[in-house]
Amino acid sequence: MTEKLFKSAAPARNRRFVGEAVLRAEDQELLQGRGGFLPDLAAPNTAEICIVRSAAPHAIVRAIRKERALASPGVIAILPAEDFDLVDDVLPCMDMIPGTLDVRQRVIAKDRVRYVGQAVALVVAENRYLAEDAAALVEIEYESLPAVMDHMTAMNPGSPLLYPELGTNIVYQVTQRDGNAFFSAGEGDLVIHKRFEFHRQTAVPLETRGVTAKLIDNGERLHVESCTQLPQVLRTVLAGAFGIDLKKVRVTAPRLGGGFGCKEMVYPEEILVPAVARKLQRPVRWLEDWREHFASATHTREATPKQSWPATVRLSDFVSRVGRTLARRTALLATRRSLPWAQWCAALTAFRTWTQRCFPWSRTRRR
Amino acid sequence: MTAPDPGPQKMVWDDSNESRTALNVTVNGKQVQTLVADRLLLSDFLRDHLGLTALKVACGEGACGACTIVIDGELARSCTLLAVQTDGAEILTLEGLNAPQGLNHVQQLFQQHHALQCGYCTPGWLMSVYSMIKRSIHPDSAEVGQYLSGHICRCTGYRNIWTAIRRALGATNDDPVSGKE
Repeated sequence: MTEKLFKSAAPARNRRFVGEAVLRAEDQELLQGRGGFLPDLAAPNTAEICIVRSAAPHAIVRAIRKERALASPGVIAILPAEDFDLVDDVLPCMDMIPGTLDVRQRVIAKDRVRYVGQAVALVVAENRYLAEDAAALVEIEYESLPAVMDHMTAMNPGSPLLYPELGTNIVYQVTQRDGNAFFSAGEGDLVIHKRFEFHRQTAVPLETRGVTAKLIDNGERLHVESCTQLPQVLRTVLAGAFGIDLKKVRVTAPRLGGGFGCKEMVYPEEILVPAVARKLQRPVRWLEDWREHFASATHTREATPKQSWPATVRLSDFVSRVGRTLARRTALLATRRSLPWAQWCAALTAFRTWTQRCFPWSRTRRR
Repeated sequence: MTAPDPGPQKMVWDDSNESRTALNVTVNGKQVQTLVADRLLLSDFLRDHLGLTALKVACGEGACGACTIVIDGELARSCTLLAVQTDGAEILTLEGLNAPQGLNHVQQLFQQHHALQCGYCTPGWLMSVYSMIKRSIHPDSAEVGQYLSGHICRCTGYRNIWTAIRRALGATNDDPVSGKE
């Protein structure tokens, strides 16, 4: 098997694979330009989708007028939130820690938009050019609400609330301890204080995101192709969103043109585009462009302190003279934005520094 | 919120509004005669109409180099050109450089030196290497760096690509910086 998959540069009788250069099996197709990335694969009769996204950071959607857009050539449908009847329209969150307020995102904005780039309506047309034409004609009436640009301001009393029904912008506060949290430096120990600030950033793979969806097996099953690093999770979420059996959903992830983590979550478009295919009974695809990617793909936690609060990550390390970390105290403040797939990850995990010592080989059992 | 949705309306694509122009081009040695919408991008024409999907569209504004092709012997970004602008031109895409079987020499060098990872930017690089070879650029000349600057690779890193390109240009050593083996 290995022989078939990998070509070794070494003569056959000397092949070891470990410790020698091995040629990758996928290189041939990639180098010939036959990589089979999602934009390269399109079923016949595929309609294209352009998503009308919120231009406002925070606003009430008063009205969506689609008459002019519907009259645009090649338009098949204009679909705002009310046209999607999903069994479950809540996007999953990877780490809903007990005590966290539930601010999980809905797949499409209903009456309120909460960030620039949030999907408000989907325009389906015969091709992308016509879909973009029509998208420009969709009229959305916004009633602007005050927006907050950083998490320091968001915490202030009286700050505009993103979810008024919750009464606060602070979603989660916790203090974690593991080991001796009151460790004090001994003689000869070194204490290092450091502050870190992170600006917001996003992954920007060369290949942006994209989703295609079509019905297969005489319309019995749904086949979704997505630029995703989580096809299995997406399959489960799709079955739940449509209230159908898992066996009725097939999800495939073609070769990815880079992901860097930003394709490792379930996005609104991955539910909305298949919903359109089911509604219209026609293959559809949506390809994100780079400009769109900056607004609609996930960003990292932003951390830019504006006031005198200890910087976003404040770290105190107690280090022994031989360079071993003895204890660590961390204070962290982070924004989780409006796409709460992963809220905190490892950033908020207290850990025993003693267990960080690592003996990679000593426990390896040889047979 | 709005008037009741009339539901999805299946419409025949009426393209009478779309201004179209006759286009005559040679693509990878083959004559193509067709009518294209004036606003059709060259990259979309090649990928969607002719099925030449080796070139990739990434930034869509000519910065990343993934859509690089050769038009009349010159490197060009197909994502910022209109198809109609190439009337009468000779276009070469990666499909035109592929060996009948397996990999061509430059592709082999890219594989051997691990000059690709996800492979999305690779077709663009290969077109630039073709152009460099055509111009007999010396592997250690500063021009190599200028060509490199025309492409964005997000995963492999440029050093392996540089090594493979230098080899393709005839270098007998692997280290692009010191020139040592």
